[in-house]
Formats: sequence, C-alpha cells, structure tokens
Amino acid sequence: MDCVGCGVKDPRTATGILRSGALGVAVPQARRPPALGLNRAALLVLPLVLFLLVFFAYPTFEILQRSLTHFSGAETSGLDNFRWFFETDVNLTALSRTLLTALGIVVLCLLMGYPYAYAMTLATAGVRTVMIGVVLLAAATPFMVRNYSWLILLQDNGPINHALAGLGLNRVELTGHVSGAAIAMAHILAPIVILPLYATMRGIDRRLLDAASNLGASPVRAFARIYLPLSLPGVLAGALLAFVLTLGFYVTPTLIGSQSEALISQLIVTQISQLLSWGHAGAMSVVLLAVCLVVLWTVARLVRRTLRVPTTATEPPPPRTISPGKSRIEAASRSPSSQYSSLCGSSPRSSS
Amino acid sequence: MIPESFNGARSLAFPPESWSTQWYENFFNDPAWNDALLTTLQVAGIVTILATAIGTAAAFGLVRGRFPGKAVVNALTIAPIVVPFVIFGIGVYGVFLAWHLVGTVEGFVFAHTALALPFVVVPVVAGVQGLDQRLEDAAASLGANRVRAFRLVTLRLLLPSILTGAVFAFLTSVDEIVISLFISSSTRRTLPVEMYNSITREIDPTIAAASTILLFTTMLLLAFAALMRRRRRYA
Repeated sequence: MDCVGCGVKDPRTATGILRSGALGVAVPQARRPPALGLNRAALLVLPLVLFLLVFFAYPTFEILQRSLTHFSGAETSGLDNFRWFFETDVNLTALSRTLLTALGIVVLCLLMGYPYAYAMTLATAGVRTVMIGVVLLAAATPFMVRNYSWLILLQDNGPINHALAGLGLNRVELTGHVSGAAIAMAHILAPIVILPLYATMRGIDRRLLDAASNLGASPVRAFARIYLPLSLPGVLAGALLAFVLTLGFYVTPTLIGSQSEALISQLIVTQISQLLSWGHAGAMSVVLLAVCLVVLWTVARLVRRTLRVPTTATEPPPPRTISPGKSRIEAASRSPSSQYSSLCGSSPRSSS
Repeated sequence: MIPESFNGARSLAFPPESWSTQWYENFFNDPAWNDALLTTLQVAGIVTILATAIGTAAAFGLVRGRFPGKAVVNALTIAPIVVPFVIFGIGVYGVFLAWHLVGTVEGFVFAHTALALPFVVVPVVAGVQGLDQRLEDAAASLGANRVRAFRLVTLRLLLPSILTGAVFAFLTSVDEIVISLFISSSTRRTLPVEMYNSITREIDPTIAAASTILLFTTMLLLAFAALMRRRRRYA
C-alpha cells in the first residue's frame, strides 16, 4: 500500500496516449471519462478537510489554547499554567516516567520484534504466512480484549505468577505497577514494530552478506556492518511509532498500572475528570504534543541524514558495488515514510 | 510473547467458571450490556458509511485533483492517528460539552469518523493510483456516459479497496475506547466503555462473554477484508 499522496502516478498519461489517437482509438472529447476536471477533482477533498477541521483540528486546538486562557487556583494569567507544570514535582516525575516507559517499551519491542522479523525473512513461504498471520491476529484482537487478557495474565494469582512459582522463583507483583502496564503495552505495540521491520528486511539483498564473508568478514561482523545498518530504516520507523503511541496510552496504564505510578496521560485525565482544571490539562497537552513533535522531527532528521535521497519502497534493491560504505547508503535509502502507511492499512488497532 | 496473545484470548474464552452459557445469556439480557452493544453497532454502522463516503471522495481528490497545499491535506488526514489520543479525547470532550454532544450517538459518530478517515483514505488512494485509466476511456469509447463508466468500471474496480477501508472504519469505531470514554454518559456508552467500566468496578465474567463475541466478530470482518485484498490483487 502506498502512502497517501506520495508517488502519485500521473493518471493522464494513458489518457493522453489514447486521445492522441496513437492506438488508433478515437476518444471523443465530449465524452470525457470521469477523470474529472482538475479543479473539480480537488473539490472532492473538501468534505474531508471540513470534517477534520471541525471535529479534529478545532477540538485539539481548543484544548491546547486553554493552557493560555483557563486558570484555576494560584494561576491567574499568561504562562502560569506552564509555570505550574514545571514547578510541580509530580508532573516532572510523571513526564520522565512516561519517557522512560516509552523507551523501555521500544527496547522490549525491538528485542522481540527484530529476531522475529529476521526469522520471517529466512522462513519458507508456508511458515512465513503463519508468522505473519500470528502478528496480524495479535494486532486484530480488540483492544479491550487484549487489556483484559493481560490483566488476567499478570494478576497476582495469574498464569504468569503460577509459572514463576512452578519454576521455584519468587512471585512478582505486576498489576498496579507501571512495569506490568509496560509489558502489556509492548505486546500491544509489537505488531507495529514488526511490520515495518519485516518490510525493510525483505528488501535486503542477502548476497551482500555472502560478499562480506567472501571478503573475509566473520558472520557476526558481516551482520553488524552490513545487515544491521541496512535494516536501520525499519528499526527507526517501528521504534518511532511505538514511542509516539506510548505517549498517548491511557487505558492500559490505568487498568494495569496505578495512579501512584501515573503516566502523564493519566495526570491529564485526572486534571479534567476530578479537578476540572482545563488550563492545567491544556498545558500538559502542549508539553506532551511538543515532546511528540520533537521526537518525530528528530527521528525524521536522523533518517534523512543517515540515508540519502529516498526512492520508492517497492523498488528492488539496486545493484551494488562491494564498497560497503556506499552500498549501505544506497540500499538503505528506501523511503521509510511508505512504511508508516503500510501500518495504517494493516493495523488499525494502535489506539490506546 | 505472540503465543501469549492466544493464551490470553483462550483464558478468556474458557475460564473455568464460565463453561456454561450463563454469561452469554447475561450479556444479552442485561440492559447495560445490551444498550452498549446496540449503541456500538449503531455508531459503527453510521461511521462506516460516513467515513467511507468522505474518505473515498477525498482519495479521488488527492490522487486526481491538482490544488495547492496537498501536503497539508495529507498531513491533516493522518494527524488524528498521530496526535496522542488523550489530547484529542479531552479536546473533543471540552468542545462536545459546549455543543451538547456528550453521551449522544452523533457525538460518537463524529469523533469516531475523524479517527476512521485515515484508514479509509489510505487503501482507497492506493486503489485509485492502481486504476488503469485506459479502462475508463475504453468504456467511454464504447459509448458509456460518464456516470455509467464510473459506476460500471471505476467503482467496480475500486470496490475491494473501498470495502477494505469500510471494514477498517467499522473496526476502528467498534474498538475505540479512549475518546469514547470521555464522551460517554451514564445512559449512553459503547461496548469498550462498558467493558472498561466493568473491569474497574468488579471482575464480572460477563466481560469474558463480551470479549469473545467482540473477538469473533472482529476476526470474521478481518477475514472478509483479507479476502477483499486478495481479490484486489488479482483483479
């Protein structure tokens, strides 16, 4: 699936050939097919734009704007809500806890997802179908069902603690802690990491590894110097998505985690539902969104710097010279943006 | 980790105490669950139609239209799934309070449609890009008028993409929890919200029955979507 708008094929080329009579078919101008006049086709976007402006952009803007216009308690004007945010320890603790949790989830997802995606590229077609099926099945399970399952699995008398006890290990308290919630979130986000990883790895030419070992590199060295850098776009795309989505998770940390180890999203909701403090919630939202944008921007820059001019994702890897430095750049230059959209299509269950 | 998902689902489907069908009976007899189920289906049905119509039109506009600021429209389309759900959720809550849309079917429909649109636009854009314009021209050259050519050729070729988008829109709505949590009222809520409340109140095995029903409905729909995708590939 291609990403929205990128690589738009010019649909008029074929029409042009036909109209010019090159194929001997005369298409009367009066009976133009619904290629729709250019301006009229553009009008088709209007309902979407209007709908999203009213029901998405306006509400989002409204809550951000309230950080500057709604005040409660000690705050009275200007940037007081932001001053409050950065002067309250609970907020800063929650923010750093959120960032650490997101980082931990990304690491967990990559530790599970990288070997899994790698195994998928090596598996036979049949096994691979099963492996993809398992990932999609996990992604397709309703969100609340997955939360409920993890609550059962992680609870003090749950299967995981029974298994630990069976192995002669100590029971661990997972529910009511952010660590338990992190395990569940890592599971929920794993498909989102695995799919772009696999999409990238599928395009890597394994003969490069043979070439490296021919030139005397050990398997480990060949993997670290050739395969790992080539798979980096997929790693970054998956990690970025998992990280950003974790920042917005509310339900899982609330059900499996606890209020005493709250993430920033939980604090935002508390400000609204219990304290009715729109200004505070707005300031927290601004900070959260800013963190999101900074992360997105940094990774996008990182991707652009490591990789040169992006080409399309469907293009087969170009023939390479053995020069490892150059070939790495060339092969890795598949557009990572197309992988985001492949996710949009295959996994709608990223909602938190 | 992946087998855990099966584990989890299985332990839901067969918890020792719920071998009987009493929780399923409870699910269908308890007015709270019943109303939640009906609301969910009603909302998801309207969202599917609305999002598919708006999204399909926009996909045509994005591929075939020429207008300034296309990149901005693209960004706007994807934005609802990039902006943290909590922020969108409280934003919608604040605005819907003023518009008296909290706890109404319309409220759920508008919020869910915003979230579902990207899932319609993305596959349909891919479908429109893959269309062979010559087929429409051929239809026109054979004497079909614009509407007829569009209905018989374009729409028919695009049907798998559009149906894929529609299924994803439906699932997005059925599965949505964070925003629904905010805009629910004590009298009107969706199934995921009822499940959430049920978990926070007490562990009531009815939720296991609800989960199982939700799981199988989802799987059926996705199997349908997969079928559509395969048809599109060979179309």
